[in-house]
Amino acid sequence: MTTFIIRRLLLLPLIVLGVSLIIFSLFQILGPDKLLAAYVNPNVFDKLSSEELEVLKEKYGLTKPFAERYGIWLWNALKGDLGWSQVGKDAVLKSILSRFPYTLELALYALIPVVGVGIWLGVAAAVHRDKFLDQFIRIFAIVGWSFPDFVFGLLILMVFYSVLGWFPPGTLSQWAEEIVKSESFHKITHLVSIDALLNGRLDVFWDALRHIIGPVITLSFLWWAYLLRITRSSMLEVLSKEYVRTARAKGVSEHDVIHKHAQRNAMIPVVTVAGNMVIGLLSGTVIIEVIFNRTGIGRLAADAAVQLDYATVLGTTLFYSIVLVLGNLIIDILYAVFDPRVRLG
Amino acid sequence: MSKERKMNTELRRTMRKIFRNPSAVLGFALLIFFVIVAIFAPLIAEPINPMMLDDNGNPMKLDDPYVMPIITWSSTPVPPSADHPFGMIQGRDIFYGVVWGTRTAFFIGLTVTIISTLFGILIGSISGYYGGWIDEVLMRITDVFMSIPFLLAAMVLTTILGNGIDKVMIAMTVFGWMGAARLIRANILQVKEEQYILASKALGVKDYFIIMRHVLPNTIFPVLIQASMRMGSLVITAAGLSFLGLGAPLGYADWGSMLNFTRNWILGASGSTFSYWYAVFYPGMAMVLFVLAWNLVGDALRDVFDPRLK
Amino acid sequence: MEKNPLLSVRNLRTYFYTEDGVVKAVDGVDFDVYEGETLGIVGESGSGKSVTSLAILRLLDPKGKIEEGSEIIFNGKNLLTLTEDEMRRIRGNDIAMIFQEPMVALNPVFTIGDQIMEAILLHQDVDKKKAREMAIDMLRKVGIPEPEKRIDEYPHELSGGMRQRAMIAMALSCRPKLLIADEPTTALDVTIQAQILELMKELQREYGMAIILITHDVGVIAENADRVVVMYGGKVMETSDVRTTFKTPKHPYTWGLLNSIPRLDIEQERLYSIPGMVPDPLHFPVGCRFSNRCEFGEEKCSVEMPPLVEVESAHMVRCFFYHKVEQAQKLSKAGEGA
Repeated sequence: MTTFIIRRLLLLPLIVLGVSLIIFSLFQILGPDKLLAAYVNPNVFDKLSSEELEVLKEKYGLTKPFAERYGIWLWNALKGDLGWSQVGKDAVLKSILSRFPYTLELALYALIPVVGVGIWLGVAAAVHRDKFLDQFIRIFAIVGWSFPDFVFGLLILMVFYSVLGWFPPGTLSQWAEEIVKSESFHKITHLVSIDALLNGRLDVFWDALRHIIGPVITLSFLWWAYLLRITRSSMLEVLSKEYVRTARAKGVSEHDVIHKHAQRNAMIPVVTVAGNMVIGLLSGTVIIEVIFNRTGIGRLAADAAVQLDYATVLGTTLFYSIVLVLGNLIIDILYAVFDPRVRLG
Repeated sequence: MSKERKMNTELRRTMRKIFRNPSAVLGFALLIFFVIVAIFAPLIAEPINPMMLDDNGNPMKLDDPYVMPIITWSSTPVPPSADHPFGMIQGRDIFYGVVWGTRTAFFIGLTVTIISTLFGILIGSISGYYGGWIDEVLMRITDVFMSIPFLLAAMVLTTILGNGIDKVMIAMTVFGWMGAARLIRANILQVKEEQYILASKALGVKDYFIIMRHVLPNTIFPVLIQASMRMGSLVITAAGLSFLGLGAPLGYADWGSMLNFTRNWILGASGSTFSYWYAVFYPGMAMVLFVLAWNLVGDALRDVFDPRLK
Repeated sequence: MEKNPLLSVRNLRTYFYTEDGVVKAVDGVDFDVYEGETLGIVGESGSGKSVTSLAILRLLDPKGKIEEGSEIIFNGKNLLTLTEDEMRRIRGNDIAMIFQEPMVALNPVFTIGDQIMEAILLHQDVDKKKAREMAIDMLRKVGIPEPEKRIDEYPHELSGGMRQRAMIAMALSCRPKLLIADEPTTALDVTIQAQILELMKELQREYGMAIILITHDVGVIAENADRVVVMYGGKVMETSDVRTTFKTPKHPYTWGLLNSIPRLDIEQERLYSIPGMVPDPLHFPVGCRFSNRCEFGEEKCSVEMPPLVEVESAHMVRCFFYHKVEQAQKLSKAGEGA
């Protein structure tokens, strides 16, 4: 197991290198002029003469050959310097790290109901196969799975913000933000809602919660549906297996047959598709942070992409890739935990 | 029983199996509905601009029917009326956009699915058939492409290439072939072991023909099922990019960019925004039903051809 | 043997309600099992023998229904009238079952120890430590070497024969009065088959339990059963003690089955096989279910179902023309002699 983890971790730099190379080369399509735009204030940019442009291109190293420029970027990146983020108004790495807790908080809050509710409903549907509950859950799942996250997000905003006024967009209200930024507020986990509780500020906690519920519902809605579909089909297959009959023939209660013998086996294929879910949740944060106007890495990435801030795009993409690779590694380990027949090595 | 008749009864059985399942029927019905809308778009929503008259005093024909004409100068959304059953937003008729957006959705979805699947099949077959270092290199490249979140990758490439649905399609194809490649490769590795491949290799048949004749017919159904399941998610991603203002140009008949219009109205002042429900509802529903149709069809195909996955 | 039977199955009818129609998988089956004996149930696949065994433990899948009027009397109690809870206390405790494929019949994600201990803990008032000891004892008894080590292994780590031994250990861990073995050796190599059957005989002698041995293999029945029930198309075709049935079969189907066994003692040009195939259970012939494949049948057979009649003491046959089979049997015996 340990050798497997180490081997996979050794693969990580290779993947990061590959990803950075892809993104870096994609940006070469733009040509030096457009790349320069990322460095210069747009108001000034249009007034510059062609000589001045050449000087600036020289200054930022845009005229050097591709390999050299990639080499420079890579060397700096290895030293921890990912460049300056126009969008984040700070160093790229710092911009990413300061926004990460917000995205993590969103993902964690979404993941827990997704896993809990999704598996629970999937098992319930399989056990009551073709009965009313199953039909209902299946319709819910396929419709849910067909909802684009931004359409669903807009509907949530419309109902819960515009009509009911419950869940406002943004990350925190103005007053709460000031408290969080103040000296007396201790940042322990950097997750706002948890820190608020630890600081004993129930009002801030409540405010953070109000802002995060809408995004969490939106982010999890689609993946509930996905997970419960997978769980249901996997559970149905397992329930028809002979070892389930063996368990019944032993006199095991129906509850244990389902929740012990069958469910443990049904989790194996569920774990293998969890990789898709990690990718989905990560991509989901991009659109959802934009819709709900939240601070986070997804928003940073989206803003950077729109403004062609390629240092930030490179940084955020790499960050997402690392999270993705680590996420898949955890899933592979879980897979081995759930299925004794799998040997990692 | 003759072979032909056997095929026929087999086909009839399959059809019966599909159409006994109400959700499959719903899926096909929805899909047919969208196909009809797409085909007859010029009749359902005439591509004319009532604000501009030609020499004979008739409304002018649009040069490009996919660019939604501006038909009112009111920039606030206008609620549904008899003339504009879905209402208007940003001076454009929502009904017109939903109808012509159907064509856009089919165009984007089918093109990207077909090209990226074909590309995936190519990479996967080369990788699976030749194995060795070719396989190793191609699969590591696949890994790298797979470790960039799809939406983010498509977003970055679209921005680099510039606005336009052709750019969106290129971006989604570049980052969308890996699933098919892996599937094909895995299936080829499995089929490769089987006897008849060894036999035909011994006879000295060219590699290319071995792949075409033996492997593809065995693996084509899983690929088709995967492709139909992907149609929905591709359309969602394309619309998502348009929604972020990255895909289709402003005013293009595309469901995502119509929703982009509504963003400011929804996020604007609290209170009155619910009165703009139609601006979200109609394009949103069109998209949900379109994706639903493909998902139901994909489900039905999977149930019939691969009951193991049910 | 005129004591009260341990298990009496009376007029058992099990129908499956499928989308294509009602499948009468078991249609009016009667038999008894006495303490300590081995009853063999033999028939081709689709004869209803496995469904019968699942019906006894009420383990049919939801589409299968045991019809009104059926009776399964075990130890004087009708199992069909028990509540699910009462039934659960009987399963694995009084009546245990082993299945054909030990690879798929054992849960792959639990160790064999977990699975044996689960049965013990369910039915006996012992703690975990004691249950583990009992499980190790049981594994030793079924001939698994190093049981202290093997108990913590997963099914995939054992060989096919070892898995079936573990399965038997699990089934016998609560000393059942009746063991139902559904094709227990079909998936195993021939040499291991013999070992497993021998093991079952030994344990039967030790525990004094009754066994219902279900198989399509006439040879296995001949060597291991005391009495035999021949099933075809969801009905009992012939039943008697093993010697009688095998020496003087009276049903054309039994006769066909026996003649399709390869024999070493006489020279055969080619092996006999019963003509035709087992009919689709949705489309059984109207009269005798075997009529469309029968070599002795007459017109009457395809319109009327023959009754199960006692032709000799404790020898029941469901055939109008069983004397034709007697004739044929005599002829072939005479042929062998010459």
